[in-house]
Amino acid sequence: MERPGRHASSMSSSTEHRSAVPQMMSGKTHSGGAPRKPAASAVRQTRKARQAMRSTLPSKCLVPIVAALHAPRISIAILLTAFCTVASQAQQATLQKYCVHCHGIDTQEGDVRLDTLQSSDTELLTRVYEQVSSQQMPPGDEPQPSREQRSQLASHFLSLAKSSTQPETAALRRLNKREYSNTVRDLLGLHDGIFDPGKFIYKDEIAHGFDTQADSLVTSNELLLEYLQAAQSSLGQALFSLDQHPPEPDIATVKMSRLTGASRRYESKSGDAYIFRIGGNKKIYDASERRLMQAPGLYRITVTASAIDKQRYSVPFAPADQPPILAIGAVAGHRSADSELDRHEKSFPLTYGKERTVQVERWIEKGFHPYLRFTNGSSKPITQVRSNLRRKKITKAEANRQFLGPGIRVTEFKIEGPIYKEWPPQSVTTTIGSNSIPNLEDPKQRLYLLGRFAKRAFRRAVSREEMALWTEHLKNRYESSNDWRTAFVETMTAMMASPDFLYLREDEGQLDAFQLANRLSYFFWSTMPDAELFTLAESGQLMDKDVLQKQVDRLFNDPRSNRFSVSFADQWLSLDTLGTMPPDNKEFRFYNESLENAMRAETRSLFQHVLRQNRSVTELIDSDYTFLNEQLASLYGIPWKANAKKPGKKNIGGELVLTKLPQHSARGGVLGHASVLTLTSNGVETSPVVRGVWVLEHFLGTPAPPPPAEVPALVPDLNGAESVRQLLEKHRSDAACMKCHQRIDPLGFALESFDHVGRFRTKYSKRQKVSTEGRYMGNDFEDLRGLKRILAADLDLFARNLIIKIAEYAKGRKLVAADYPVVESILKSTENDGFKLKHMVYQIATSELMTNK
Amino acid sequence: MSPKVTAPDSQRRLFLKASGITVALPALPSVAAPATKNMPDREPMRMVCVSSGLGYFPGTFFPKSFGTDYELSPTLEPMSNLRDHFTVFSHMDHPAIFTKHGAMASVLSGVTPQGSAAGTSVSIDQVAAEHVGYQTRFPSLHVSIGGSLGASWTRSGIKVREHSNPRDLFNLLFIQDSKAAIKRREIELREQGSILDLLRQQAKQFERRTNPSDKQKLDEYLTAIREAETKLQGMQRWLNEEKPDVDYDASGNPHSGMDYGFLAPLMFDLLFLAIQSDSSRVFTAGFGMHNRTIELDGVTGGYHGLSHHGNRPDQLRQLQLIDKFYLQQLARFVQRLKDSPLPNRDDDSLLDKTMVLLGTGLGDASRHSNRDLPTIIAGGGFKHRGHVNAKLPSGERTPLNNLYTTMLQNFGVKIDRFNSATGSVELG
Repeated sequence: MERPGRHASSMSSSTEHRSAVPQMMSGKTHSGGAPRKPAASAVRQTRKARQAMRSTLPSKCLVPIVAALHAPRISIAILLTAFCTVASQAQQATLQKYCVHCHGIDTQEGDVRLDTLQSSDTELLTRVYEQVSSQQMPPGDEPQPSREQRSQLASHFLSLAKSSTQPETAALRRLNKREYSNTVRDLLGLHDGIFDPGKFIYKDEIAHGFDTQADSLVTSNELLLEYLQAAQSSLGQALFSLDQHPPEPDIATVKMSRLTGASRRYESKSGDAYIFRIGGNKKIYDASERRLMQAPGLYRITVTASAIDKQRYSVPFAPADQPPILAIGAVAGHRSADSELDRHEKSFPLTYGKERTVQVERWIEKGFHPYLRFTNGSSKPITQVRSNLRRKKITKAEANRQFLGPGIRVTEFKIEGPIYKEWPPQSVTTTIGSNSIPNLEDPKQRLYLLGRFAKRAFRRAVSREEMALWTEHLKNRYESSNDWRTAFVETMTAMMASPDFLYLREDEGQLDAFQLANRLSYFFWSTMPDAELFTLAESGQLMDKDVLQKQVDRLFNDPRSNRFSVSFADQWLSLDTLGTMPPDNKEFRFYNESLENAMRAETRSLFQHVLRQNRSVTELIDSDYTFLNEQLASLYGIPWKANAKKPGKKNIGGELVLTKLPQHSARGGVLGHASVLTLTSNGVETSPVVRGVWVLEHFLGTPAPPPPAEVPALVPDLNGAESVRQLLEKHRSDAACMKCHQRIDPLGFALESFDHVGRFRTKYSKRQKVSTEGRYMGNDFEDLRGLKRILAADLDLFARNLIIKIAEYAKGRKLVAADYPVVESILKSTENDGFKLKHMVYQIATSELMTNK
Repeated sequence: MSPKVTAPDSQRRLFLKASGITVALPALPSVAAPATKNMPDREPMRMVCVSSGLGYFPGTFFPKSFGTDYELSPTLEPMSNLRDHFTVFSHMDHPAIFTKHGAMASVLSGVTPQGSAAGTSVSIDQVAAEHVGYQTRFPSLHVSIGGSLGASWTRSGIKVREHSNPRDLFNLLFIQDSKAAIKRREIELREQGSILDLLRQQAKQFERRTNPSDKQKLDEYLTAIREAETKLQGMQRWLNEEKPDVDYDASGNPHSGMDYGFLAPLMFDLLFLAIQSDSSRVFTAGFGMHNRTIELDGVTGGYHGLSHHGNRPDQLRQLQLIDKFYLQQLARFVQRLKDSPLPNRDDDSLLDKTMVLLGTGLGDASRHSNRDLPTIIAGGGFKHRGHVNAKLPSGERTPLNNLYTTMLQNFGVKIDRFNSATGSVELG
């Protein structure tokens, strides 16, 4: 049992602790090194460091380097009295045998001492529970308690932790950016166009965890002013008119000489035609202020155009052999929208030398305008011109004058509208909560209108007393504007910046019916409750178990629940960071936005598939299928059969298809996905450490501690012949590093057979081979396939983490001790069910995790 | 009263040689002095914080000798004419920061802002901006090319937005808004003011329905209302003031966002014009992190890739070309400030009233080290000390926040210690 070096490391353990905690290190050295710093602040910093250490406690500090089973110099008798308040005899024995030698009187690994554990130390009790139940403690190379001993110890500590104190639960939770956007759209019926209410709201800065976490969602003056601005413009779109009749449609014919958008080198105009020869994001539009729509509505856009100049140079320019494609879209009129493209653009292939008239009918908002675009044209012709000049394919004279590559020649651009298929339109009926426009001169009708809006905006019943303030404001605003529409817009703007709208407020303990309706709706749909949920909340029926179950089913089966699966998967696996460190665009020309999208879509699709089809969570670890399109298949080196429906059509950037993987492929499961392999690289090289840390933190939910402050990261010297493994082994020979790296590195090495964009590889270079073997949880593996078998063998751990993560997403806060018994019972019942994901989500959604704060 | 000021380097008409084609850069800027009513009685101090998202290769950045007669390093060579006007520090950093690339968020504060409590992660520029408030049209201005830096954070924990398109910034600073747009904005602001008033009353009503644990969040909201009201008043004050008149041609176009040869001079020109016209006194600017190929002669690799040079000579050479370009731009900017005399003062130049900081979050990007951050402070009326070894007798590095404390004090802020500073830095 004795391991060499044990004694020595035990002696030095306290120094090592310090070096393992950056804050503490800096705190101490700091106060020593800078004499001017007051002592009090140094003390504060040390305390802060301790807190920081607590909060990152998992394994950072508990990892023991001593394996002594005997606790020297203390008698069992003393220990027993110390335990008395905390553990029964059997548990004392377990604790004594497996824990106290590292966390006792002599050694306090990570400053944790378990022989004097008090029942009042809830935080520590919870940590012990978490460490024991997630099998992080005792560490892998230490003697392990039996499964039964482990679960008894865990549940004992849990019951102590949760009974000790009232759990501290999150308070008011502000709607995040996504939820804000969806909620405003639903509240105001803004569904037809491209206007996004959340566009100008500051991005939520989330350090760790989900964007639903109450404590990360701060409010500030900057944000409040943006909420006001966003509400003003959203209501301006939604309640653009409260007239009984729609505005009259108009026909605007844009003069060709007024079109603009390309620089002079790429455009030419005459009285009857406008020609542009640049693609990319360049948008062609009417230069005058009149291009902006005065009212939101349906507009009919007619364009007559032809393609010209297929090949005027000796070399082809984009789109070469493809027909030039003209797109018609709409965009906001302000400058900041310059780089944006309309997702609902309509495209039309053109023919060289032959005119074609096309028509688009679409909803365009107030202040927006239509535009034309050459979707497959060259986005930077000048670069191509220059490189051809260098190669002498183009003469200097040709290069210096007007560019004459393929272009689009427009001869007609006409806009008719606004047209309304119904009056009042959807945004008006939704906002006022009625199918007809009330008589605003009637005070009673005004009161009804405002009351209905308040109820929907605040997502609860609103009392008459509460309304007094708002009706008073409505009256004041009318007095200053003499226009009821303006007064309503201003009052509603205020409502949409009030805490009642911006925050989700929940009672302590059990939620009331409205709060539950909100919780469910924001969990599955990331938006306000719909009419059905509202009605059930109003009548209180939602509190009934069966009704709740049915609603969960309905919400889950609604397409809007994709918002849950996508946002959850993105944040759980940090897919949202994909693309922040892309590879060199010149060296890796195949790596582009559509490949990145396909990568992201693959992982989302797998999660959605497992969820929708109610399959076991084990398929997230390993599966014999994945989702591919041609681009991704080619990255993976998997033969791609052309889509049978469209023979000859390439499926580049196309939709992903469930594809059975070849035998022995390691791609099944999230760990083999290019998304994960790319986002854990830095666009230049891979690092087994970074990948290992990601697997522990995101995939398994058992994060590794941050590295000690003073150890510099590895610098691979690419001139030398040392492999990553050699470098890391050198690093690990240091005991302080070894503690964590023996957990981290094997996971990362298993992924080394994939490069920084997720391609399979067996060699780093001509001389250096990739080696992937390692040891995890006491089992050896050869490569990723072997590791996946080890991970899949004990699903408890994986499933438990997933339940916790989903519950944290739903509740908007970290779970505390009081929540864990519910987690354990859900885990137990899903275990009997084969860990099916949909059932897991249903159980969470109908449990106390959902119905209580 | 004030004479029309013309930019000194009127020969500054740069041409970019790129593959045989000559592209003209914005030409011959000259500035009319801003309206006198905007000019302060005493010449105010300015602060410009410039950073680079991937640092500067330390091997060629730090000079090898110390003191005032130190030998310039290869990267600092473009600053050779300005030796007496800047100080370069070795062994300074933010002791608590180990966040690798994430350290760009801490470079101006020494604090990791994401997840820290409100009020604890403000960056130096925002402390200065609070000090100036709406004495100028913009309390602070932020511009970057090659992607945002994310270094500036308000006291309430908001990441300040940066202008990524210098042209937008030009319009914001110098192009008059239409009468109608001003009128619209005026109505909007007035309406927002009356709503804030109402919300304050309504929040009381709301408070009655909350739990004790909600108190902190509610306080956050009430503070936001109060601060938003102050801000609105500031914006309203400037709404009808005319923007300064500037004779500057900003009509050219970069080939792409990587056309640094075009974009960087434009960015610094705009900073200069904004300082000269007293549109703002606090600025952050710089070069972001990305992995595209910067359009500079001799650079063919992606920027991030080059920073992970693995000691390969070709990569290092390219990386140094980029670093040196940054310093050339900085030198040109500092020189211009130095060449701009202050009205009614013979000896002083605009540089004496402008502190220019060059910094970064990464000491050595190739290994993501956040230690020993390359740092330069120029101008500001400081007595410059050449190359300073900031290693303390204890062997520890001097916290960068000590330098920031000195800068804020020089800016006029009454402050003993900025964030985690342990003192200040002698530049008297």
